[in-house]
Amino acid sequence: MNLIASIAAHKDKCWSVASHQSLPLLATSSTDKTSKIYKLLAKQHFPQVAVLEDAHKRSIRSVAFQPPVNGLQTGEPVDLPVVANGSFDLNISVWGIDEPEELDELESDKLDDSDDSNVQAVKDILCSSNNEWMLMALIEGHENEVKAVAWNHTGQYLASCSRDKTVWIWETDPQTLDEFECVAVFNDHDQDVKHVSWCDNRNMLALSSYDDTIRVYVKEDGEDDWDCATILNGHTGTVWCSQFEPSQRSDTDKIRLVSCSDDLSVRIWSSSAAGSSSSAPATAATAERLPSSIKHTHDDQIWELETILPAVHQYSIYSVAWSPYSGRIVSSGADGKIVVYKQDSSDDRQWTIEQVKENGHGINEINCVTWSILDDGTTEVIVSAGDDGMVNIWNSS
Amino acid sequence: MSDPINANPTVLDVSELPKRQDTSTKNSASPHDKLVETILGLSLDSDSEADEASKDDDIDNDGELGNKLEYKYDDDDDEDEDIDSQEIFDLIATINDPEHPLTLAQLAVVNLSDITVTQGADKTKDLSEVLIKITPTITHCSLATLIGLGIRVRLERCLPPRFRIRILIKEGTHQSENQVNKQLNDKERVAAACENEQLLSVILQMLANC
Repeated sequence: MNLIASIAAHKDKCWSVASHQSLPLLATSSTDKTSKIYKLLAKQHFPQVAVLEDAHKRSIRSVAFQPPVNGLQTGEPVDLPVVANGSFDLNISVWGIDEPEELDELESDKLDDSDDSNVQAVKDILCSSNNEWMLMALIEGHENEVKAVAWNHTGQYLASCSRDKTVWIWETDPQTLDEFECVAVFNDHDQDVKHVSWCDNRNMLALSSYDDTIRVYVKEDGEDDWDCATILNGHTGTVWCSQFEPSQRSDTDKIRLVSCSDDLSVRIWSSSAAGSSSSAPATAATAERLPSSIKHTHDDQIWELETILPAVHQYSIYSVAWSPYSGRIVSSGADGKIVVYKQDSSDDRQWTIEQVKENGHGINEINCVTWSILDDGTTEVIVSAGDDGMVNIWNSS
Repeated sequence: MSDPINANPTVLDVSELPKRQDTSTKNSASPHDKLVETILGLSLDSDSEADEASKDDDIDNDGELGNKLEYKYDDDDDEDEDIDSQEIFDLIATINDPEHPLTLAQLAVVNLSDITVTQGADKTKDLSEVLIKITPTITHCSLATLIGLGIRVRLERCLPPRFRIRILIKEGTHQSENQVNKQLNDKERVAAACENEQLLSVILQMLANC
């Protein structure tokens, strides 16, 4: 694992990094009450695109990009980049840009251009530092610090979680971001909810908690209600983070989730999807005999612990990410190690350690890791955020 | 003001508290022995400093709370090597109890024997660890979390960043041991607590004599 660049992004702890799904953009957030946006250029240059500031009075704990819905073809409504920040000051801010005028000009003289170069031109315009990032909404509601925010795959729902033990689902118009109406509140956790993440192709979200459990909630298409699909018991310490397997990686209808914890373990949980004919529905009698790690609470979904990844970390593991590009998993935490795990090609449950980078941020703790892709569309990188305020970009191949 | 939670705690005499043996005075034949001991004793019995610090408190409450905590550990390599349990004890012994006009050492909330320091081999890349077990004065002390937080803030601001600090309640000395332990070692909760001005001002008062 080679360090490509080290960005001095913040004056204090960098808590969170997120990468955009289709644009080469990276967003960061920090104790210094700012959030920043950088462009990921393949020529290994990472210019700052915007600083989002003056919206929060305390640390910004979490940052998340709204997923693109329409794509980047000219002639279609183009998805403009949108970022949400969750802060210890109890509030959530949503930031975006106006549609750049250059897009119209592009439209009028695109005649000779191939689609590819057009898409590239649109990307360049959307990622330009000429765009002014504006505060689109400030969302209030939580009683304690907001610990994480995350958008669903359609950009219509924003989920936020807090030390107040609740998770709120805010509904908005994904294009206009007009208002954020709270459409559901989950308050089943006994303690702080540390992290929330969505499945990338359905309305399913995983909540990681200080109470050592993960709860998975689902809203079926066409229904209004959100149901708790399962409670994943097994971790023996705070669950700091969890992430679903990217759907394009999975060739079965199995849903998988990776989680990391204070107990120094990284675990993979799996479920046969609802309606899958291969899984026999558990009867009430068998459900009762199952150990607590296997619960049967939603339709035909049975979740179970699939595997525990090889142990490497010596201190709390704060962050874990599953690559949509290579299917690998990366974890990091208080020991400053960045660990990459690779799945065995023949056996789903068999994972090996591919790489370990010691001292990713010197002797500082690492709060967040994520996968990203540079603007050449092929170079996969790992991005890490540390207590030293730095954002490091690593070539992982 | 409400009644103290522990109205009648056991108090240690300051002169009984552990201190570093000065190697230069180890030859007991030295006629300066008594003098050195007296001087060391005086420096621990910091009455005059305490008075000044309490005057400072009035100013602190008006704002600029953060500045007083900006003390960073001296980066001098020689001193760095000296970080042992006595050094840690000295850093936290003079923290005031939130309830009594006494220090944590006087109340035996912190004890030298309950501090473990594990040094990494290479300071530039190996992590070091400080493990401190605190003994609340009574088993239902609701201030245990606050005391632990005060110790953590003190150490986080004094120790080089390679140190990982673990603060635990000494086994069997508190009825909510696990709960307090979890809170005190949750990085995110500690960070959020330190952004709470009310809480921070209480902690600053505890650290006024440090």
